[in-house]
Amino acid sequence: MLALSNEILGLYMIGAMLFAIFIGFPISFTLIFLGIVFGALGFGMKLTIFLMTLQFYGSMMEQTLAAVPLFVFMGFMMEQAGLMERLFSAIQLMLARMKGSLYLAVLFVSVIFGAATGIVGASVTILGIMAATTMSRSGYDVRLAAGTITAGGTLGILIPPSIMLVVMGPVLEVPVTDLFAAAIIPGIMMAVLYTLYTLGRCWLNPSLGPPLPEDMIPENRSDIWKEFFLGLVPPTVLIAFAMGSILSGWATPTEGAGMGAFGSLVLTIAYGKFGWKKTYDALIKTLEISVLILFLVAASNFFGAVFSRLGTPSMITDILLGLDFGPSMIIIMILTLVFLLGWPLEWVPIVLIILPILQPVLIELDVNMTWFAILVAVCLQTAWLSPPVALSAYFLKGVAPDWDLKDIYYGMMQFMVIQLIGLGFVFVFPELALWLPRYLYGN
Amino acid sequence: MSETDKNVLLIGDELLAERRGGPEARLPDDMHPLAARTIHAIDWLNDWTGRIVCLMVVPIIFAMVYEVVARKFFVAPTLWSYDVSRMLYGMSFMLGAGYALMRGLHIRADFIYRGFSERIQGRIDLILYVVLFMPSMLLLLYAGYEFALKSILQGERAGDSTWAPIVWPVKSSFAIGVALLALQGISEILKSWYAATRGKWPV
Amino acid sequence: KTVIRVQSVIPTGADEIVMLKDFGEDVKALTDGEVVIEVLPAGAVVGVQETLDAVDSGLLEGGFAWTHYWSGKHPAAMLFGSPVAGAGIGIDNIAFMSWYLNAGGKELYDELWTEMGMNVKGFMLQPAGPEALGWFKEPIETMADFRKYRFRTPPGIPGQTYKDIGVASVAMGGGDILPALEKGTIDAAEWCCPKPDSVFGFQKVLKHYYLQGLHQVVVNADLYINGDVYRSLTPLQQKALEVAANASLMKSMAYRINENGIALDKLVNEDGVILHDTPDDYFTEYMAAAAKALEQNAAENPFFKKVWDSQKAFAKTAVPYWAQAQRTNANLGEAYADTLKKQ
Ligand code: NA
Ligand code: NA
Repeated sequence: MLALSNEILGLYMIGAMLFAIFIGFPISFTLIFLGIVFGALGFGMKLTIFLMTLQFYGSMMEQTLAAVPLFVFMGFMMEQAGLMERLFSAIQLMLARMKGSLYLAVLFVSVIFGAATGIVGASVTILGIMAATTMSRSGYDVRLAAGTITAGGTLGILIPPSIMLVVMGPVLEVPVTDLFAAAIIPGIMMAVLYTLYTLGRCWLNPSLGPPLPEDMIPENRSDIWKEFFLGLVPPTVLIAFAMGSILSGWATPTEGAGMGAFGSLVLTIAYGKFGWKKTYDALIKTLEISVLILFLVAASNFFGAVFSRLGTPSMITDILLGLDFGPSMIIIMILTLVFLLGWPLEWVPIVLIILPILQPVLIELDVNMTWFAILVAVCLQTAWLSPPVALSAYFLKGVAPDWDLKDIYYGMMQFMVIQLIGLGFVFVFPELALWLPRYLYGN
Repeated sequence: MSETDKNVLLIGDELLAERRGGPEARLPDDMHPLAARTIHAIDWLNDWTGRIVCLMVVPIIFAMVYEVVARKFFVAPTLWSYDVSRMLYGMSFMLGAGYALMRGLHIRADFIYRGFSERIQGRIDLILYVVLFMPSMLLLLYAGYEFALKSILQGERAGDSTWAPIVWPVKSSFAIGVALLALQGISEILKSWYAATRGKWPV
Repeated sequence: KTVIRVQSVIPTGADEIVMLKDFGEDVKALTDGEVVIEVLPAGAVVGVQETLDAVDSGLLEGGFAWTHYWSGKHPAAMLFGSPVAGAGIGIDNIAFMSWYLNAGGKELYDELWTEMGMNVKGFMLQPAGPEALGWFKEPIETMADFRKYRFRTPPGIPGQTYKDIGVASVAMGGGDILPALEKGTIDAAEWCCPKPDSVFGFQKVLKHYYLQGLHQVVVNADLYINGDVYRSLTPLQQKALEVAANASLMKSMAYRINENGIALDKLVNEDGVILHDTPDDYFTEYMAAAAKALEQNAAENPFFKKVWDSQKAFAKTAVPYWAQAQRTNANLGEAYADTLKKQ
């Protein structure tokens, strides 16, 4: 048998994964199994299963992820009380004759969410819980709707505060505050691009986001205002609890999630919608969704760790560095690499393994690291959207089981194209990232 | 829910909850009684685990709200809320993993799979549960047991927090969670066996 | 040829890694290229908290952190990595090196890993103390002022000691610190020393910097190699590791004085950071509380007591002498620093 280097083995591992998960067995267990098999081939069984216990334990002790069940619970409480759908119906009523108003609503809420947390799982999940049903009921195009929710949800890792930027700062030796400031304009720009795209497509083809049927548009303008007001109150209160506590500096993102969960309880009681059975159901559903998200996070962390341990990411990086190109070309190639690795991997291994190896070369080439970090961040957003390891899709699928995974994939693909356009803007106009930090902090 | 309603629901619901089993579901009469009893017992155990574990979110909410209020209004932050929240979160998702498997909630990329007949689905699942799932879980159970035991014997404390709590409850939950998953695997193997031989899922 | 892959717990660009790689170069040269230290970034194979377990099991050949990172596995690790308030007995980082190299510290250090049940061979590499007290939103004049602020504290006993003296101590993950400071969730925080602190970016948010602190007046980073890997080396190679490690102690100290000086100069003269003297009552209160925490640990754990007793025996004669010598050094240095201010 041919001697196989571990790096090449890693390529086979990716290949095997791309094949195996489509057999249809639960993805988590497939990833775990492949991680064990390829890890055992590469560096032995004992070490592989030990690596797995460590990766799982690491995921279990990650306090930022505790925000996931809290935001999910908040979402379910609101859903059970029927308080959250009201905002969407209210905006739908306000903009009743406007095509695709719910896209606008989702993207608006996405930005608010993104500004409060950096937890994509929670954002996509809660957006899915709030919007998916309403969008289905209103006859929205499933693909465009799924794409809007998943892409909108990933805005949270770009718009500060962002866990990804916090991790990236020390790796690239750029103060995290600079990265936060630098990410604001690109984040808003992406939201604008999404909005232009969704509304543009609705304008061309109204069936993608139909206005309300005539018989559902109220005659009385005061009805609309009443509905709008009633619809707006609960989310405003909730935002005051969750995002408000974070933005005002009362709470860290996870604590803010706890405040939001508490706020949702207060709201259901205030609206007279509280019930022990309903609350218990929300708890059970919270557990179900949390397990589905977090077990997969842990499993993909393990899979990624084996892949990294095999050295394949380093090999890909080495090849890149061996080529003799100028800074722009190198950056384009790095971003291509990041983009490609984003399909099978999540951002964590990419940020922690690839960037540190590349950092010396970039400094050698005199690349502005703040700008580079934002390019990588915009590029890495696609990792959440690119199958087969597209956690956004699975988060959404978890809360919108009626939507076909294939449709969700197609929806996300459209937004990956927009993402690349946005990436091009930041690449061609570095000031999009660099102006605000300079304005805020001088130098 | 009527029979037709259930079928309508299942069309779109397959990926996530293609068969939402559970101890309340009635198993078919032509199933071997020993198999039926085993499935029922395991599903019952994981169902109750889920019912209890889901309550762990409540103390997390309490810890977070307490911390925010105490810190903001009384300049009296706690050291425990940070650790309590992450430990309970980590324990709940591992302990609930078996429950989620029982409910068919672990996500599948199955747009090919669900085009197959139930008999083929049963065969695929049967093979993969036996060849892929069970060995993984048994290896992991062994590793998780040693991992937890070492932590208990050491009286290991968290090294990355000021409060520095004992961490064996988290490590033990990992081992117990894997054990519950492996146990549920037995139930799922019996269900796939039925589907593979009778051509329809038992629940 | 033996490749020792060392996973660190900090990003690749950090000073500790620069010096770790320098150590690796020395080892390579001394072993004629037969022993190669390859540094992996934090999280490359396992998470930061799992590094030691991974080395113990052989998943990694080596790991690099500060000894007190593993206080959770054995409380005495703190006495090596960051003996709180100079072990409560006036030991600074240079005096610590004297104890370690000359007064039985090294033997106890080897024993620590055995006590922990870890199959590793450790090498002290990098003294990094003293660490700063930290960064504050507003100046503090007394401990009463200090107690008004929500302070993100370091892990373990050094942090618990702040709680004990009534400081509003906040536990928070590293990634949350800067956003929390920006938004006022917390009012003050500590990290390390001028160079790492400025890389962290505190100066963008807080302007009042206090260098004199006690929670990590002594800080030591170390390398540990899987025991089987270490024993597979030839005696000459093992000696090369030891010699390079001892050289690294001095080299790191030299590196840090220079680098922190440059960083502090930039903080003060370019970023508008204001240096303050730490309130006097801080030292008395913190020392007393630290002593209590140390006493308690010594009562609970025999090995902790053994190490602390050894440090005490050393300090009894060494500290009074060294304090005098340090006063000479401080007076000399301040005399020159003052002439610089007048220019
Ligand atoms: Na964000
Ligand atoms: Na992906």
